[in-house]
Amino acid sequence: MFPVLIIGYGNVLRGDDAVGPLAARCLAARLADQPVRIIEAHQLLPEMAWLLSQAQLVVLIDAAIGAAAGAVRWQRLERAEEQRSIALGVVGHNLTCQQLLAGCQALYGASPEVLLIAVAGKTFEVGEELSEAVQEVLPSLVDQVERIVRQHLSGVH
Amino acid sequence: MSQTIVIDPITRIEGHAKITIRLNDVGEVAEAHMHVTQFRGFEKLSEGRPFREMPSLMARICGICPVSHLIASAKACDAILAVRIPEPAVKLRKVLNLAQIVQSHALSFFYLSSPDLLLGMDADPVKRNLFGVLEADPELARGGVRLRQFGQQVIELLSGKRIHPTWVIAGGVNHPITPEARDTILAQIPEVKRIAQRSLEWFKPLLGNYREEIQTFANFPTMFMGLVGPDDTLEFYDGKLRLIGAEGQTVNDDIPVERYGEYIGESVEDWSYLKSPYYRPIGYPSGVYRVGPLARLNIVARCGTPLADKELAEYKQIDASERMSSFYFHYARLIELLHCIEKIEQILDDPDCLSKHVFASASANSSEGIGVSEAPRGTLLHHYRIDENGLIVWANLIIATGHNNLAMDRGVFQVAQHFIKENQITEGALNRVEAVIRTFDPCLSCSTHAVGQMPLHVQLIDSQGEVVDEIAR
Repeated sequence: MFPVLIIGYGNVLRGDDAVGPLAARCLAARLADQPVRIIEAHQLLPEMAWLLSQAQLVVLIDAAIGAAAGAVRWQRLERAEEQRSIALGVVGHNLTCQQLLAGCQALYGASPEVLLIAVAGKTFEVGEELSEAVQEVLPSLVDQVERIVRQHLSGVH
Repeated sequence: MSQTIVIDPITRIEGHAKITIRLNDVGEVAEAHMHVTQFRGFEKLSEGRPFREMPSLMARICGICPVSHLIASAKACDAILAVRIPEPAVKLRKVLNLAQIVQSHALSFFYLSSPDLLLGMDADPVKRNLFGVLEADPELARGGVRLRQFGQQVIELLSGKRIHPTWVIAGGVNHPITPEARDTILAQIPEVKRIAQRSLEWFKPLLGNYREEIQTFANFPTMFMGLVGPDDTLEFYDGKLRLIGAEGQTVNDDIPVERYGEYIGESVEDWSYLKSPYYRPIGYPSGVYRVGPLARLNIVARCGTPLADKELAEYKQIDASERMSSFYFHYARLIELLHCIEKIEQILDDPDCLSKHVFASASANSSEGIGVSEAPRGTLLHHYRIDENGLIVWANLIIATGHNNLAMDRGVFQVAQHFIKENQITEGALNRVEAVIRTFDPCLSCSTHAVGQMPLHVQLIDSQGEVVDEIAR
């Protein structure tokens, strides 16, 4: 068991899609002395359901489209039982966060608190650089996540 | 009026492919093909790169089986160094390869194929997926997730990364295993072994429910090829390359790998980017053979681990002509899964695996190197030539899935012919056309993955090229 799980996911070779893994990397350095499990991943996978089941608080950091570059959307995911219909339709080794949460509940009977942070990107072409807008927002995003995690760990949250 | 059915893309496989089925004037299947529609070109891309970069470059071919390419590529580079790599490094590479097979077989069986097996070929496609399995049989789903997680964890403990590790290098591996990592792996063996055994016990009685599929899923005589260890034992890392015939007779007991070009031809068809290897002495297309779990179990006498050997003996009770069916890939995959877990335990129980001597340092001593290993899906071959500066000037890769291309193509035709009648295309029939492909577990260079539900698009096109019917899900 670990109180907090952070998964930053995306393709680090696809421009702003790297924002999740890069945020996770920064947080790993800042929270190295804390009981926090931090994972950089290309994508969410069904076997991560077990990791979710071991945590009280899960923070998922992903890139997004459909908003102005650099816009950050914070969303608390609904409990898995309300998301069961979303779980149906998954085909293999790539999941949405709702499907992952549904899987966690169905497989292991656990429903951790899940915070999804979606950062709108500008470019997802091949390349290892973030756009200016996303570069700008990354430090404050990391600060905020660190604060939330520390609050949670101190029992204040 | 003749018609064409197109299934594009095929779902629950690794990569992108489509199927076309051409019907004749009376609605019978006249022709069917599987087309691989993605193109990667890694052979050309590697030209000019230093040969020592090849293992990590080649691992990028695939997000599911990077370890397989890493191993075959490193073996080709070992041959360029012309050194014998330390035995502890061989053992650790073997563990990595076995872990790769565990996670890949778990993905294939539990995530991709068990929905068909548990819920039925005709089940609602909305539920015919891992979460459908989870609802119907949570223990089975949990077991599949656990096995895949175990394989990935072993890869991570050895190499530091689950996907695209760079730990295997020309001359060995770049660091030894720690006693803590070894103990962590060994502590999990009893649990995952039980899951693998339980999965076999679940699967074997199901075979009776799939007689029609067994009879029609690429059930035809072909040759089988794979590596074989000493005493005809199952082998994934080294050994001799054996080819047997449909009657079980030896066609070539030890194909000389350095002259593979004399034995394995590669035909190119204009309807697919995937090359079609064939056994050159017999010719194209009669020289069709299969590789992978079914082939490996058909060419060996034993697995070399107690539990898997017991299962293999039971499997071999099935009539050899019936074991021509690709439906038995599923069965063979589960036996291999059990074997790989036992083998990981065997190797890690050997104190030699903790040795710090895991790398042989050398410069290039040969201008050419060939590496062969068994990937989850079958025999994998990497062949490189370098210039005087150690830069790659030519590369050739024969990928496991490619070996099976001809058999998959014929399998699609066989299934389509049996299940599609008089222009009647049911959802279950479509699924079976895809399912025969899934038995081979093709991996079509899947370093990128489809998001969410992959669509199935079927078009009926008449001889004039007009769409007369269309189904999509």
